[in-house]
Amino acid sequence: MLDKFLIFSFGGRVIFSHKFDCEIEGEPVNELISNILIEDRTGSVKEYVHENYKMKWKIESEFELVFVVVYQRMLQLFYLDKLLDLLQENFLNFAREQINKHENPNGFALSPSFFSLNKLKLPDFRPHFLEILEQVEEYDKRQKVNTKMRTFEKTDKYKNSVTAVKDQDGIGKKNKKKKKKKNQSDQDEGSDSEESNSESNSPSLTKKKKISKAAKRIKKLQERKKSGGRSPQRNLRRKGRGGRGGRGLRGSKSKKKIDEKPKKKIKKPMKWDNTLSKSERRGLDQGEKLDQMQKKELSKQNSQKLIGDKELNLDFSASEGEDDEDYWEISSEEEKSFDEEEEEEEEEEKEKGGFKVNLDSLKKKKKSNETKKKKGKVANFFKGLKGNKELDEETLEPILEKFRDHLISRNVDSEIAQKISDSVLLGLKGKQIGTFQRVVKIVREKIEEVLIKILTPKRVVNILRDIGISKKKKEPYSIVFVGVNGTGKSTSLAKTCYWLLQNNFTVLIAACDTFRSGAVDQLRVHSNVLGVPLFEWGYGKPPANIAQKAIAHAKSNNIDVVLIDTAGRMQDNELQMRALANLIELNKPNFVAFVGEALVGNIGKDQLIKFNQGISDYSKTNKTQLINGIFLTKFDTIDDKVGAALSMTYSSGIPIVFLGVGQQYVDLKKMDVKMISKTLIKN
Amino acid sequence: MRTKETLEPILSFLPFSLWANVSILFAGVLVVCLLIYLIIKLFGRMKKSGEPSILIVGSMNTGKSCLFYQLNEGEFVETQRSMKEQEATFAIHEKFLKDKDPKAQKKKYHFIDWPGSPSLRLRLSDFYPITEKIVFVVDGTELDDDTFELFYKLLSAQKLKEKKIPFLVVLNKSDLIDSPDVKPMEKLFNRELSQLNKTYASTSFTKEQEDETENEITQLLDESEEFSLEKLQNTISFVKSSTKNGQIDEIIDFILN
Repeated sequence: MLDKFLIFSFGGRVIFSHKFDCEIEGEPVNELISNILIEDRTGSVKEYVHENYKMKWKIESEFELVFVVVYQRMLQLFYLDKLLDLLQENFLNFAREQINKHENPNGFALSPSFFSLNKLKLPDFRPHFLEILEQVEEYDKRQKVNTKMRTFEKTDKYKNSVTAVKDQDGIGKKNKKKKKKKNQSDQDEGSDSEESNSESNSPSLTKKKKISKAAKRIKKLQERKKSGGRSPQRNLRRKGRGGRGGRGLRGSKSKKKIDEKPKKKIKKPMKWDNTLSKSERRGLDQGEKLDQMQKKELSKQNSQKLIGDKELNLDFSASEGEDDEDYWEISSEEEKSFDEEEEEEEEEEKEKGGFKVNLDSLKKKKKSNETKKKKGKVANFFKGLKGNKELDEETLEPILEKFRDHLISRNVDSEIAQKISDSVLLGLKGKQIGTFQRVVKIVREKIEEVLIKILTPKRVVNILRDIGISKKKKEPYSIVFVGVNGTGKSTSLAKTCYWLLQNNFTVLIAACDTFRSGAVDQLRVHSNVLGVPLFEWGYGKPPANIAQKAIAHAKSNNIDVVLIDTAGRMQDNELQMRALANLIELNKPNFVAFVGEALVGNIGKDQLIKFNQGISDYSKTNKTQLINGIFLTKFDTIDDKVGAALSMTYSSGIPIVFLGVGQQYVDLKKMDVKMISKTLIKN
Repeated sequence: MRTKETLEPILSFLPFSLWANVSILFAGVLVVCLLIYLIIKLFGRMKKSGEPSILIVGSMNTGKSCLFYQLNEGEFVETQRSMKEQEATFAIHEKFLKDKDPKAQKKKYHFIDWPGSPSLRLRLSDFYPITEKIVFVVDGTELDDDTFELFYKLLSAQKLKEKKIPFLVVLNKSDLIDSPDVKPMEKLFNRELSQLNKTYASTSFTKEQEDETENEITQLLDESEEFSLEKLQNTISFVKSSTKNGQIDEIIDFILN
């Protein structure tokens, strides 16, 4: 069922490869290397898909080896993680054995160069490999055979149906919660051993979500009836406290708890002053990492006393179905498991109420981690004195925490900061360092490396050269400026025009923003000052046609470059995105520039991704022009909070071409990757 | 006071008061240290700094790592895209040195195989100071913009210009049918680089910020005159090779001379 298995070194040497029966088309492993491994996106992604192949990998950073298994995209093999782990262990032991068998074992030491330079010719690993593969496949088969079919009561369909909601039976509820918990953890692992059908994960997940939504609504109505017409705003606030969507769901589960236990008739008010007992205080403290059993116990006690808390849904730490991770930690895996609708809902909720609570708990977490770090420092000091230190999660985690917070303070998207720190952790785990090397320094260097890799464009963008090529072909080179409202498209256009004039190209400005009052007039002023012709057709006319005519005009008059200004639009507005996609499809511009503000935070990433998606989704053909580069404007207003640059590049892979650093024509600079990465790291 | 008592007899040979003596002694020690440091530095500079470093660069998928392993082991090794640079100091495999004089067989070189991926290119400039020769590997059958951009970048690097580093452009994969010959490639390089030359005119951007001179790409030749690779300070030569089949004799000659 597998197609290929490879072990190769960071430097590129293939140490062991096994090809199964069929030939591999193309170079999927090279794509994996380029897109994931080189950019150190290993923390956020567990598998990579390229054309018809899916790949899973394991990195051994100590000896700079990568173990990759390639298989058909359609398949769902759940034993691969285990297989990779076993193979890694086995291969290293195999290498060690060979060294020991050799006549001069002290001449060789296991190190990265041992493998990459093939210092000792290892015999064929194939028999070992095939043996392990066989064992793992057998084990997997046995696992599958043992599973029985579920009864109807155990399925999600029943659980989410109205009958289950009505059913006040405590046993059914408990099982349901256990199932949900198990399903959550199964989703996280990527295995789904209970489903015998070969449905892929996402359709079944969306089904569950849809059913649970219906069930949620039914429950709401029922509860409202019971409680005697609580205001919907109360319910909204309830949702708001829920923070992310997943919590909202669980919040509703805790609501069920209230319905379950009819004993609670007294509603005790929330205590805010010093008269709180220790347990009560702990019950209020959401950020402390408590043992899960303790949490549950406390919640059971608190449920008797502090019903008020429950109604406000503050008591999240106690709700069942909670994963092992800290409540407030933004886990990328959970993000993936919800479909887009839920994400929008989450954002709304976050903006409404959940945010304040989040920040407080983050601070509390910091404190607890600081104390941990102190202990870690002392232990590390003594460890360091001993000899060669091996980096592990304990030592790395507090340092990475600090860097994460630092990056977030520099306006990097929190998710992305998490992903970067995950990859750095994976990259440094198990690495041996010398006695006097400070771990912080190593982590800092690695992070800087990762940042540089992410910010450096994968393809060199040289607009002037491309214009030169178009000029030879006697075609005008067209650049379209797109973006949301108010990011600086018209100003960037004017700056670009000035730059092109300095490089002795002839320019034509096309006023395709026919919506905003004064847009055409603004461009007229620029064209007068710069001395370039303006192609305009007034207000209200369709922009796509104007652009078409402008390009035709440029061609007939031998003008080198056409700069097309478009109206600002929101990334969620379908109509406007369609219009944009139409404009791009009709005119096939050479360069689509997304103009984004450096001031914006997480939203900038969202804008960019949705614009890109919109342009490709709403066009009629398959292969459409996507965004080629980013103009990051208002860069002079942010001092050192340059994180937006990182967020945008990381999430989309689109390079940043120019930075706008002022409102004059000359304030246009090329992206300096080293400067930005240094600014991000600087304390 | 105890210190004073202990120091007095030691420093009695100096004419001045106690503390003046101490400070003179201290200054004397400093001067001696400085002298030693300067001597070592000078000495180090006069001596040749070890094995010559040869940088193997190029775009992705051109055969750099393959060349690296051929030089080391004398046979074709299967490779994937490199994620990290490889450095090693070794003598060229004896297979290629059969007809050469025995001195060459023992001479070791420090080879640096740099990954072709653009994202990893920034740190390449760190190796410029130690580079003595550059082997620029090109896949004749799949030329892209990146190849010329990288070549231009290398040529315009200040540190490489100063030392007049020789370049060898290797047209690899000559075993493939559509692999081009040396003369047409020279012309193509001239054309493409002259195009690039125009785009890196000094009026391109305002230079208020402190530019990182290592990664800055400056114009090589004035636009007014016709661009030609021969006009550059570094010597550039073109050869064909096939790392797969081990036909890298011309590369070996370049390295040895």
